[in-house]
Amino acid sequence: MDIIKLENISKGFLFDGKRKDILNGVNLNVKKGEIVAIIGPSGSGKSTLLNIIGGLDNSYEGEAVIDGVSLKSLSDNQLSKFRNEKVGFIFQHFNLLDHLNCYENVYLPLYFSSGMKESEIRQRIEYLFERVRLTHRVRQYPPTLSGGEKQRVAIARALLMRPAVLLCDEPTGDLDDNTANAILDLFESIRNEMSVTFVMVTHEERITRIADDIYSIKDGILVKV
Amino acid sequence: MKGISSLALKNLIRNRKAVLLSSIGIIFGIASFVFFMSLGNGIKSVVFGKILANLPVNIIEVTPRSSTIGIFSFSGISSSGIDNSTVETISYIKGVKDIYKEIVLDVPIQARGEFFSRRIVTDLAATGIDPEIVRSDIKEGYKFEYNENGPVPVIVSRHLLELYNSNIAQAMKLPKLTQDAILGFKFKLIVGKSFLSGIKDSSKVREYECQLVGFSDKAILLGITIPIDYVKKFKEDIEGKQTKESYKKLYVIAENSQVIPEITKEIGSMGLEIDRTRKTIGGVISIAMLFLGTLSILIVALSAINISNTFALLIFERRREIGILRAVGATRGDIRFMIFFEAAVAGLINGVSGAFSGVLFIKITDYFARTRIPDFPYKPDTFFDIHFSILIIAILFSIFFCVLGAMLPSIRASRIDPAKAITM
Repeated sequence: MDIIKLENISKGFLFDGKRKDILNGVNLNVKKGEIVAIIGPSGSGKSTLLNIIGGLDNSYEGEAVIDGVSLKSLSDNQLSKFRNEKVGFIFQHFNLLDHLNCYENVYLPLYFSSGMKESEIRQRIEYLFERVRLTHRVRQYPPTLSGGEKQRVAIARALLMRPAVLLCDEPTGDLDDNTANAILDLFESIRNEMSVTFVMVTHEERITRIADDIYSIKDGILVKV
Repeated sequence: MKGISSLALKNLIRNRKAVLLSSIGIIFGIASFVFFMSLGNGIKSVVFGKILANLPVNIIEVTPRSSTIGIFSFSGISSSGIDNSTVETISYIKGVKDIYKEIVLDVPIQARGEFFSRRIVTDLAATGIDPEIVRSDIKEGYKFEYNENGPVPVIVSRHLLELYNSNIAQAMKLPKLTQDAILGFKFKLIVGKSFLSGIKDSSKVREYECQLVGFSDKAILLGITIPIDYVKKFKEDIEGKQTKESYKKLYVIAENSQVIPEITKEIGSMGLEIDRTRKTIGGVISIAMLFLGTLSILIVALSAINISNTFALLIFERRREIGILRAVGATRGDIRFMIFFEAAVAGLINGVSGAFSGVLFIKITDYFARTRIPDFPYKPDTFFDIHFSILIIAILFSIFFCVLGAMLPSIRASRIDPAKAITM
């Protein structure tokens, strides 16, 4: 079953009266539990594609269906709920909030959700910290952490709501080789354990070592490698 | 919402310095508001509680119309005052229940007596009044009515005792007095003789014993007030015949307070003047309070612009953070609520700080006013009357203007494009 289904996705903008395409008829099908890597240079449209899959960008042509939900039909509030429940984001610069400690950063999606019991929340967060091997850093603040530790907190945050899809934008871009490899190993073990689908966009070749499918994107055109 | 509130509180703690700096104006404005409103209430309490307290609402005080030329005031018909035919006309006005008269004793009089072992002789002014209008002011055990055999009952103004205590006693090194201490005081009244007018006919000079039986706001300020029949008698004694009666003042008793405007209108059309002291003083205080209160609120309102700028700046700095919140599931409404909540809490803190500062400033001012300002008539124990409702209103104003200031920035924040913001 395809957890991600993109059909003929196009997006462009007017520049000097002429349309410039960022994405040009992109088609993509990803199965549950797959790791997909999309490689391309800066400005090739890979982040835009990720934003469309994640429901952050809803102004495009074509059809995007994620976990059975057609994103085009969703209102802004429904898109927020979709982002909260169905997808997790991992960014190159980690995007943690410096004034919140690690626990609170991981807790962040729950500020905008309801219905989960406190005991269940605590149990889930404790498990995630164990899983990313950061139990000794729970009450620390992001500025005191290393790059690898920050990314592991971000992974825990992305996994909190048990999303169907993890969207990773240059997830190892700010990390040294050893840390980057450790993060990729963590992705692989999470996929194996939780059957989460990964879509990673990057311009780094090393990510391809854990990918089931590799795509290349250039000038808005997506091609399977 | 509970989760977003706690997130907003954390944001506020993080940005406390910026918010506090922009809040100084609001704190100052709220403190001013509390100060001026409490001062106004304090003054009102003194004026209405002590000075005008005894003017019942259903009594209209009518005097001959006075005309003013420059700084001089003339009573147009004061020589003849208000005559009996006018009194009769007023009595026919619908809603008038009773009329009590006050008359000036326009013959020379002197008072003589011992006051704290000092022999005092002084000229006096006196008025006569219908006993009924001051009945409630007469102390128990005393009577205020015409009695050929007893002493002449006298009442004096409460303000006179206040003047004596705050000025005369100090100047003449005499003890201060309470109403009870001076009640029953006796002295001689000499009718037909005064230092100013001398003696016209020594055969007509009479001496009467007088006794103080009460204090009233209806008594003349500097002098004595006695039952009206004594005035008639004294005038007859001196002038030898029944003179035409004319009254200095009438107390028109209305059936109820609703008919007062109509009665006032009719009496006014007769060329007479209505005493509007209470209304005028109340009006002046209210206008002053309104002006100072508005000024304070204006300070708070202008400070809201500061708050607005601060929140706009903070939100500009927090675009990436707002993008992250949107990415993890915050709706536009959540973002707006978060900013509003931050503003409301800032407003609450500012309001409480402003109210506290205002009360503190009141206490300091009051202390200096009580200890440094010399005694004067009706000097109150406190110049301020802090109502709890004023503090609540002040805090609500602060919250309102802080939320108002954050409105535009919060709308802008909710419109931030999360896809763009998270890449900043």
